[in-house]
Amino acid sequence: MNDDISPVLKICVWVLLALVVAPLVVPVLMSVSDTPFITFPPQGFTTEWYGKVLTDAEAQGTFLFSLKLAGVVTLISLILGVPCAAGLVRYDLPGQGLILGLILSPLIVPLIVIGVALLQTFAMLGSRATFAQLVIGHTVVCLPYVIRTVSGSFVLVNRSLEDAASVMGASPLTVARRVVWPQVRPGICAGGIFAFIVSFDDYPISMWLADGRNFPVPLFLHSMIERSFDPSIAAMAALMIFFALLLVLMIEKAFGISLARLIS
Amino acid sequence: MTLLSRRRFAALSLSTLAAPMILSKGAWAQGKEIQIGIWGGSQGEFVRKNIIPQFEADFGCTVIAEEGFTLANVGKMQATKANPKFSVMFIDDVAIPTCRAEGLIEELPVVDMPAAAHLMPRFAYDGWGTGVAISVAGLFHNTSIEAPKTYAELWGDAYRGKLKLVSPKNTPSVFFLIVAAAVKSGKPFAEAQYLIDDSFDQVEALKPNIMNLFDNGPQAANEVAQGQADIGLMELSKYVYPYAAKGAPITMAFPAEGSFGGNNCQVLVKGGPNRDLAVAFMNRMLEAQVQKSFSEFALTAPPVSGIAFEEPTLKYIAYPETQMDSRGLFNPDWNFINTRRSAWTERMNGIFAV
Repeated sequence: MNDDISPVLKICVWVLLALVVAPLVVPVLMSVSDTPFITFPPQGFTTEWYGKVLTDAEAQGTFLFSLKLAGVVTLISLILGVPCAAGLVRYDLPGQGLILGLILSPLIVPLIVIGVALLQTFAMLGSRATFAQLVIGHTVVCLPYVIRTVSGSFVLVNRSLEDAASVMGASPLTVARRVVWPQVRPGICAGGIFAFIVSFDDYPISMWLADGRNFPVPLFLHSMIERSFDPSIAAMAALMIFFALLLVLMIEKAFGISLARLIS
Repeated sequence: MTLLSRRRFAALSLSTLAAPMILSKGAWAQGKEIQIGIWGGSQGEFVRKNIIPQFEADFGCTVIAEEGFTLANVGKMQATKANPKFSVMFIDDVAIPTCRAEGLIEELPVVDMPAAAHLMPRFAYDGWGTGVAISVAGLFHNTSIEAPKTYAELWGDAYRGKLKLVSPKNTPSVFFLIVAAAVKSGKPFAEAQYLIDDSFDQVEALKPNIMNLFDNGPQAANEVAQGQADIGLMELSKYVYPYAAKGAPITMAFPAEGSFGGNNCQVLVKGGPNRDLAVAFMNRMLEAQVQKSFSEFALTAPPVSGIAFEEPTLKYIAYPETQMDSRGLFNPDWNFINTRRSAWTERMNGIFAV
């Protein structure tokens, strides 16, 4: 298959990849600088900033909290998003355009506006459950990503294979498990990854809804930058990059979603 | 008739004797909870890690702190006005008139705040808030650069493309507008602040000297320390001096025209939960011992008088009150400025957008 790609296209892809990846290298380099403040190019070499971040109880707490929050949000987004995407693709519902528009609206409306609106709503309801508020807020934002990705997969499902399986006597459950699932799995996994990353990286919604006990990583990073702009911030950023890379590799290993399948 | 046993009598006597001590430790606050909005940065860190745990231990209560900044904290009060979630909010003095006008805050019960007795009148805000930490706003520059003696020098060709200017969305941008008006009119800040509308040609004249705009003080201080720009204007000392104290090649300069006070304040949210506990917390923030350690950590001056500091701290703060006066620490007329600020922000955006 690679033989079909022209050398010009290959060069373009590598240049594009370099442009995308190069900015990620900068914090990694800055994180090993042996200076009390961030500098580029780095001066000296030390790993003490990684030690500072990894042993800091506050950093650990916020990281674990963000993992928990993003995990719950991903799960809920998939539980709500997959049936919703399937329904929107497979059935002719009245007001379908309106439903889709409403679901996708968080992609258009500025997140900071959604955040303040949610805070106002929760205050009017008298809610003090911060974690639940964060889960709802993040789910509102993550759901469009899941629905967009999963509905794309459902559109591409070959319906004749389902018909063939039914004719051959397969039950609806078997058709869903053996015929539909393998075709939509990459889309669902991609939607899940998107949801996880969007939730893990979210700042504008969390800024309004979080509190001292429920404090996600992006808020912690912002707070660290305000406290002191030392290389521990770069170390934290580098760790987040490594974590995202590890996540993609683990999912690739576990689910076998190759890049080609995700693109297709 | 009920007879008391000796053991029961002894227990009752002991509890009677112990009651004042328990009450004085804040027994009335046992189990109560308040949510407060604080700042981020080193100030927020100190409040969360030092002041709150001690306060919780003394009063047997829970204080949940949410880090933010003035605009966000005011936004949170506005969004939760119908059913307040916060009891105490930390904001800059610039926002107090707005919060007061919108009915977001209430007048402080000063009689219940004994520590407020030492509050400097200039940080009392007519009883609608108190100062908590006072920074000085001015220029910050790389130590290899000789700082200008006057603000007017910044308009010279020697600084072409070498200055970092604070973003219009940050409070110190108002200080810059006042400086521009003062340079144009030759009048002191107190008069120049009312001439800003006619001074945007002076603002525009500085454009060739501006390398870029910044909205994050610590980041800008870091860039100047690295030599990416010669001078940054304007910023609060609390964002710059922590770097200087760490040995970074950066310091602040306060040109002859004067400098500005960056006043971090606390306000009592109107109708907020557990008002009595909120007032006790605000009082704690003003206590001398708290203010001393807070100031030494964040390198800001206390708003209360009578605190003794060692020389290393005094080097970075404008304290005592006589020092604030001698440095010409100017506090703008926020009532006048707030009504015009959005229009000024648009004009500044128009000048520096491209």
